[in-house]
Amino acid sequence: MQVFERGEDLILPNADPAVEIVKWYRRFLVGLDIAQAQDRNAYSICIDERVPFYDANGRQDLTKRRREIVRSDHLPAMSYADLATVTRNLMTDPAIAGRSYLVVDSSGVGRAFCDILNSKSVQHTRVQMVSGENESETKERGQTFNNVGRTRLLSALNSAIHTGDLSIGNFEACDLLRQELESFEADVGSTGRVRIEGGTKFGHADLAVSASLALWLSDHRSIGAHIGEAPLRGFW
Amino acid sequence: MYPEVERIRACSLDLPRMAKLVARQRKVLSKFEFDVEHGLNWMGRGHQFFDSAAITAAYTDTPQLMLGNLYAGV
Repeated sequence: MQVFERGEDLILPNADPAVEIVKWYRRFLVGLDIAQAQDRNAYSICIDERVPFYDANGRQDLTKRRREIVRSDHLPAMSYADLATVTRNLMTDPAIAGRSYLVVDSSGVGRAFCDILNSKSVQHTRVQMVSGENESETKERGQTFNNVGRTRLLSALNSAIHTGDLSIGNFEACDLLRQELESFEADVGSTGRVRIEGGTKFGHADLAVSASLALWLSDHRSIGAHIGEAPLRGFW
Repeated sequence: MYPEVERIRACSLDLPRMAKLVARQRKVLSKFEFDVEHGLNWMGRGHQFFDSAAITAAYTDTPQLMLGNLYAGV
């Protein structure tokens, strides 16, 4: 049984016209947390796939959605121009090219870095990590910024790990990612907001933050994650 | 200790009308978040946010995604 990949689409071909061909996907979500004053550059790659197969009745069906961090690593300190080149190399790597989506932390100096990415034709989604637990969208100079609460990002990561929606592969820095995840503590700040802080002596929880960005993108409309119809609920 | 203080305990775990929500949130929230949200636990420094057992369970043997030279042209 040969599954063909066409871009991010997965197709199980069958010449029988009675068999309905289901087309699903395998995509790679890349989260990039860029270094600022104290932290380090880090990226995480999350595979997101549903694979077609034949059920007992000979109909094509889909496996359960699988999301897994298949690689996460730090990048050495370098100029933002060089980092943009490395990012372009990453996104055009044959292992993921044509079926990968990038999300970049565009907080602070990140918005200038994202402009460099634009000049290198690297398509990406911009996320500004803000305080609080909400999510909103703003436009600035024609660019869309997704303002997502850091607590929201990390809580979603926590839930996904807890429920088994997200797994973590056996890559070189997997132990470092575990240390970072275990370093997080939740506290209530003087304003009454929940604050989640973490970090090890090797990094400022950069791997974990980049993983949370990749997970966030896997459910975001900018990659077409919500295409479909469903009855509205909760309205009257 | 303070006889003039009346202690009232209101916990969603004890309320039958909240049982459905509690059951659903027990599935989606981590133990720490669930205990804070429904078990009247305090949140504060020293409490690990990500549960170590859940992290361990999340690990698989999937090999690392192999990439080419990322530093070409730098």
